[in-house]
Amino acid sequence: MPLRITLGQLLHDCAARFGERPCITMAPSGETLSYAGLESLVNRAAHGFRDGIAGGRLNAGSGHVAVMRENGFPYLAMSYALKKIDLVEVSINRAFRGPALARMINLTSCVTLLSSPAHFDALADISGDLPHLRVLIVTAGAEDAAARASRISRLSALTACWPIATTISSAPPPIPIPLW
Amino acid sequence: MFTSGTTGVSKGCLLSHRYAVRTAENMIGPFRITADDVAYTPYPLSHIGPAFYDILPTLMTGGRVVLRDGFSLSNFWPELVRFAVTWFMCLGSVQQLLYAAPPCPEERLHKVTRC
Repeated sequence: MPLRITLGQLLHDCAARFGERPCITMAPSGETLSYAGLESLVNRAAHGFRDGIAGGRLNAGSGHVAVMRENGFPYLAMSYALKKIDLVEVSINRAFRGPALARMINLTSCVTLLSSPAHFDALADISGDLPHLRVLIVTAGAEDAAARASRISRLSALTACWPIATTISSAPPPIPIPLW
Repeated sequence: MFTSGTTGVSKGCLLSHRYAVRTAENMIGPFRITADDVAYTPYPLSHIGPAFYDILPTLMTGGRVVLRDGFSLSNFWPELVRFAVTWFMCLGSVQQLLYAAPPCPEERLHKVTRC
């Protein structure tokens, strides 16, 4: 590989080279993404982050973006999307709880966290200890996420982006909008 | 990426794109990873293992990764057979679990050649 290639460019090159070959298979479901399919998801997520989510907050100047998610296509797609738009991904161990979890999120002063409703309880438990976090982007379960988001008091915006987008600020109810 | 915290508080490490690519290349050669390989990774994507040691070398060589959300002892050998897995990262704790588990038919039917 070229010495200066980025992971975003690498994925693009591999997708062009390997196309419809199977790339990622989820166990136990067997659901499979091809190289081209993964590249397509990544590009959609990257465009969504840059242009459509959270008022366009995510761009090269956004610095570090935390990810706390279960394994799956959305995690991979969002992880490589961050790489494509030149953001630093902060990988958060989802088994962490309490002060150790807050420390991990706070060390890099992340404003944005990519997560899922499965982690709302853990985040709610430390809601008073997340001084920098302002935007939570979750996937699936938008309505449930909206209902529970109020427990994470310091967040000013919540966006569910897979497959619909819901932006929540001060005026419920959320209005789902197609993002991609 | 954070260290796991085995010997103390987790440390945040700033890893460059180049570091990731060189790490993957250092897997491809010694492990003879090719487009015909199928990797199996049930470990969290926040860990360096699946991100840089399993998925990235596979992306670079055209093979396939089987990704699972959490290790399952009862499903381990059956899934390796079902998905025709050829290699996986065998963490120390996984070795102990597999060694202590009762025999199952699939443990003799898999195609794993490296771990």
